[in-house]
Amino acid sequence: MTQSTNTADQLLLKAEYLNKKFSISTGRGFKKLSYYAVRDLSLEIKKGEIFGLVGESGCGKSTLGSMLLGLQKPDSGSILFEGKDLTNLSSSKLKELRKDIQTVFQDPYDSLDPRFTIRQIMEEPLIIQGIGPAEKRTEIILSLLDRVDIPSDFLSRYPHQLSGGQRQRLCIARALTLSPRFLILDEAVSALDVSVQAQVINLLLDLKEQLELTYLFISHDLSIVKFMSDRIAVMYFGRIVELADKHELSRNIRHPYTKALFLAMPEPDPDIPVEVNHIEAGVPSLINPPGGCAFHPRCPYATDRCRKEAPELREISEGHLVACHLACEPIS
Amino acid sequence: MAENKMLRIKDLRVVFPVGGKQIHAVNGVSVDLAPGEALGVIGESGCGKSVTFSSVLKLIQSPPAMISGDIELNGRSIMDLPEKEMQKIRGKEVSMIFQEPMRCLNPVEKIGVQIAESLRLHEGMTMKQALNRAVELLKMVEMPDAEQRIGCYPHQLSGGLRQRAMIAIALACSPKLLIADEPTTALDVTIQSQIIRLIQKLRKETGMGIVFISHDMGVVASLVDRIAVFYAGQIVEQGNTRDIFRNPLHPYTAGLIKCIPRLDTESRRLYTIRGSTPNLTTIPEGCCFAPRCPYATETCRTVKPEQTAFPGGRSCACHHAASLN
Repeated sequence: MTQSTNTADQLLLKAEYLNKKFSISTGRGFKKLSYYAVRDLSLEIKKGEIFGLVGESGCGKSTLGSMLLGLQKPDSGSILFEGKDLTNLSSSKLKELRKDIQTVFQDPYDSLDPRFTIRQIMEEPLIIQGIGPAEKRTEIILSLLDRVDIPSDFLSRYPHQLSGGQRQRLCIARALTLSPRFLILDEAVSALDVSVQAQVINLLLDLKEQLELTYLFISHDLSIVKFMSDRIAVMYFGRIVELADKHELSRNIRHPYTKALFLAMPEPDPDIPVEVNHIEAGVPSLINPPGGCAFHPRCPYATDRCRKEAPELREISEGHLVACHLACEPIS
Repeated sequence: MAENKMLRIKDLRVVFPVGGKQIHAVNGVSVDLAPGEALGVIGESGCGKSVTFSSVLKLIQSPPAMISGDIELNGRSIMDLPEKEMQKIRGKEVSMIFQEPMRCLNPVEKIGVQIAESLRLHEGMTMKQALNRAVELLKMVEMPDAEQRIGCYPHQLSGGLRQRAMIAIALACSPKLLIADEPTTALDVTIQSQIIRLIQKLRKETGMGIVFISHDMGVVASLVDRIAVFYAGQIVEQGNTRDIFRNPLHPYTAGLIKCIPRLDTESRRLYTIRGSTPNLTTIPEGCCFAPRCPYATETCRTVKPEQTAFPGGRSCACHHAASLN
């Protein structure tokens, strides 16, 4: 493992004022409409932590993930990974940096080339990064497959010959081939069956300890995010609306949206009824975003101020950030 | 019928021949449902839960599939019913809703017309009557602006509204049984909780029976009276929802409940069921769960456990059910 020098507060990644805008063609007079997928978003991820990111579909979680990976360039803002700004690196520098930042996606079926053998899948990143010779690559591959519990005689098999859980473990092993320090797990366990999901979650937690990794764990499933993460950010409409330590977040929810997400999670217990949710379902139109606080059309507590003025994300207690005008008192 | 069961499945077996091999997707399933009852069907992917209940509507094409056993709807066996008779049952007596509303709705037909289709077919309504009824149905499933929305195409609706439209189609002819196959799996949590509440409300209002198929124990917990746990094409345990959650008899059920992270889980490791779901091309000699079971003994590996009845209307297929408890 590469051990970097100690920097202030062990910050691994710092993103500031990220904006990402997408355009869609309406077909009417070739007019283009645009909307922000991520807007003025800032976050810091510390070394060795699991940073959880939750939100409904379309809130910009995956766009944020792909910007942090360097797959998409933000329209404005900066992403500092250990002091280097990802947004204005040349492609060769970015390739160098990809060794450090890797990803695992939701669907192992879609993210493995069906015509590659397991060896080819595992070897490709090593070849691209010029790591060799072949014997060394084989050694790396075998040790990683062993870590994720895939038998070494699977090397000449194809992805379709693996089960869903094995495929996702293979994706994790592939992400680890270049000894990254930061993994972005974008819904990495969402497509798995519960019994397999538990195995993969435990594997991820073990690997994090053994290899001193840092995770960004993106999911729509609050109970898994809460189980996995140290700190949790709740995203709504391209912005972070609440960010706190997971213990703080379970004791002291301040944003009505976070509250609603918690209430909507069905508990696996017949004696806990599904709570009557006090917010409207569905994210409002991204193209005509509501003015003021983006959450106000769904918020039961919205005031005139919420309709006019967008709240800033501010710290209400140590490490607990909320973007809500009414965040001063806890939600009843 | 003497015992008054709306649906009775007896020793259902479904085998798919695939590339010279035979996949035993459903392997001797027996389950029944009283009128107005809500049954939850739990199991991991490939355990045969969808195939079993698709068979109730004869949606599994046979041949190629080989189907044996018996399915009775209101005392009448449907196994030998011709397709024409089945069409009278589908939508009228039994309806089904599916996971992906976008793939199950016709993309080039307006929502209203799709709802009207079964009304015209089963109830002999005119298009105008059927469309009026469609508006009422959309209001019943809490679709905002129902009058305008009947003129929408599926792509103009959001995921939650599409699922509502599909439920409206399923409920159009007031079926006595609704089979919901993972109806909320593709939806966001906030929308999911609304759909669950909607199904609860409709059940109260219409008194229909519901089969709710899901892999998510949380979704099922608050919704159903009774649960059937599927594993490898068989039902390994059946019982009241509370009994199943509080006091599972089968090691697989217990494992399933233990390995879900809950909102208040504090430990840093999850319970896991070792191994993975079995290959269904061969029927194992003993218990299908034995290779993954922490309590498996020699008997488990050689003798197939029978469904045994337990107090409280429960049943479980495990040699050790009584002693583990």
